[in-house]
Amino acid sequence: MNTKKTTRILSKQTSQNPSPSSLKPKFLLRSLKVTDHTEPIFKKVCVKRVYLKRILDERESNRTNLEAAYKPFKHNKLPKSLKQIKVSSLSRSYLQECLKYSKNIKNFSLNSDSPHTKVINILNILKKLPATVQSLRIDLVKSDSTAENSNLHKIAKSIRRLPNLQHFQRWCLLDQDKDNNYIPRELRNYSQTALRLRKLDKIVYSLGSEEQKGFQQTMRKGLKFPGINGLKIYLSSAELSDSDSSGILPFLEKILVRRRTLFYFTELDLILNRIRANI
Amino acid sequence: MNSSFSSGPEPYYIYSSGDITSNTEPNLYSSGEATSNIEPSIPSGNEPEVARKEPQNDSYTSYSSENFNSYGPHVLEQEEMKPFYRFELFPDLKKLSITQEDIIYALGSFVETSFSALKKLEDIKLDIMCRPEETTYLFKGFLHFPLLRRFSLRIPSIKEEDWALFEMFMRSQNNLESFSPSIRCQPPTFDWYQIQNFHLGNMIRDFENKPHLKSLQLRSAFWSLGTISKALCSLTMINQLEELKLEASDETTISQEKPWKRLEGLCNFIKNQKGSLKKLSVILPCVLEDNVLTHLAEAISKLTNLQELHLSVNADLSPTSNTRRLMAYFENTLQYYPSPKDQKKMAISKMWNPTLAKYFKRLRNLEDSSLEFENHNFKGQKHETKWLVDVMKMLPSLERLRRVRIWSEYGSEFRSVEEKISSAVFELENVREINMRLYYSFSLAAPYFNVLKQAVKTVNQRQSMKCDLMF
Repeated sequence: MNTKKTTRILSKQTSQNPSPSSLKPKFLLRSLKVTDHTEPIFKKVCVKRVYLKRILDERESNRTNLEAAYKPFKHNKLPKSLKQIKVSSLSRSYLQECLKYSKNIKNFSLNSDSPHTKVINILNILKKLPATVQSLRIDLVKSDSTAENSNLHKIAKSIRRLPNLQHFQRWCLLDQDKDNNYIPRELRNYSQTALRLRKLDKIVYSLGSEEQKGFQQTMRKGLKFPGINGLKIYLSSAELSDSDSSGILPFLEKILVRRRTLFYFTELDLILNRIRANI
Repeated sequence: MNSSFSSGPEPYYIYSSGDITSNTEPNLYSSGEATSNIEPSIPSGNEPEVARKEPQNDSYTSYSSENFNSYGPHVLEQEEMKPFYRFELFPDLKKLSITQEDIIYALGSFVETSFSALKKLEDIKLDIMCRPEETTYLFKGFLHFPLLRRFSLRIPSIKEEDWALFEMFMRSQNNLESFSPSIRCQPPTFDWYQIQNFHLGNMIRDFENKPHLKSLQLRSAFWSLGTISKALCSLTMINQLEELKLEASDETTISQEKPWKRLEGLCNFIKNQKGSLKKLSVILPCVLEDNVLTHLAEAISKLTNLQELHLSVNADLSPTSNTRRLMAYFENTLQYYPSPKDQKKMAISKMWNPTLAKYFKRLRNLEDSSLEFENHNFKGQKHETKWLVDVMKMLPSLERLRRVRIWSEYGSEFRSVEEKISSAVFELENVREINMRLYYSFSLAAPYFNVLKQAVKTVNQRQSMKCDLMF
């Protein structure tokens, strides 16, 4: 009912105020940006003459109260002309429909902060992406177990089946998990992928703050990673000092860093040195 | 020429309290002890060389990083940091972004070594929220970079000797397409302020040798608008820039020049880019005279291809904490101690009424506009409101305008014209989104402009249903 009403309102408005766009071709390619505060915009997909060019879903992952609005996507060729998809959750019901009908997707972006997003699901979606994909970006906030995170390196392998890929970026923020043993393997896989995909121009490895320690250990090994041509490093003193061990040492180190904001010398350095010597 | 630039303390060290474990932000606006032992020395001539002062035997210099190297923690810290700067392990690196949050471990000569390994680098972005020790190595490392396309640096402050290195780096980079330095904290001394302006001016004059420069972003509330304006005036580049973001403070109290004269260079530069400039952002934290803004608006009106305009005026002058900040800027950095009589003059005049609507009406291609302002009305004075009403009435005439943002945290005087502004909002038929917030005062407890708020909400809903406005 709402859909019909909306269409009627729009047709009324168009007839009252003929705009220059009414002189344009019969079908309009338009983009759809959905946020938590723009519910009416979502109804635009029901408007006649409008085909979708881009879907930019920026709603928070855990909100799914608008699932009913996805009805237009069902058994419809509305997303046939889609070229760009940006989703915040893989559980969106329209995603499967879009991937089913649109064979000309050029950009795909996942920006998920849902703890329920599994690496295995990402791998499944990557398999369904058409070969036309040129740009791929995966931003992930995860709170899963180490076992699940250890599959992250498989993403690097699965993008190899996208021959036209030109730009890839990954960013991963792990919650609680500080065992970043997957990082060397992941970097090596991305390096190999970069060397294998001829059209790949940019492959950017963006480091989440929780991954600092793992990255640091990997760099100490001295392995080279040719092919990776973009690196984003995020350094936080809290992560660096906390990740070593619990106890007095990280605490004193924090104080030491703070102390340097002042200009006087205290005995804290000597205390810290003694503790380190004993360790 | 006698050029003796003093090496003062690093501003990031200056904290307001002695609580070493507290998480308080550095109070960079307090004069404090840090400046007390510094003898002022004024740069003279055009020599960019830096003469360092002999280390003084005081509490500040005795804690120099070199002395501290003999202590374990410093070495350990460098060992911790080294792995993050092993860029030789990424031989194909073209784009590098480093964000350092909080006060982090000291840097070292490894930074210089690792930067020299980046033979293919094109794009670098450094975002340093709190300066670590030995930041000099960053600037030394810059000199090893190949010809870059994009450079972005955001840092609390740059020491005087680092300014010389930075200038040297800039002079060697002739392929730059985008250049974006940003400094967040005010210099602790007037000398430092002058040195900063001296090098900045030299760097701007050297843009003449950068034929590929398309995007220029110079951002610091503590840079002199007059210096930047004069340096820009000397440039002969025409229709080259596509994006310009500028933030600088007008030396309204210490300058002997007339207001319009102080930014004549900037206005001429903007006019010279009228055929190419698409994005313009001007942030002026301290403009006490309205004719400065009118003069700028007149220059902006020449930009026929302008698509995005962001104008922020006096946004740092809200009558609570930021007044103190402004006073600290005058007293500490500019070393201008206003008498109580002068302090009265430091408020925006009652007649502050810039002519904006007349000029902005000419921006036919404008798609995105943003206006942020404060009227600094802490004495309870009534200010002129006509200029904003005129701007609002003018907006519907811009047919390509799709996004409007108007923001003021202290706009109590606009209460009287709330109805007029609201009716102008209803006239906006072409915009996709309007974000308009006027607050009575900085206090969160103060009531909003409810009529206006409702009008904005209604218009946003109405416009969102127009499929022709979908992008």
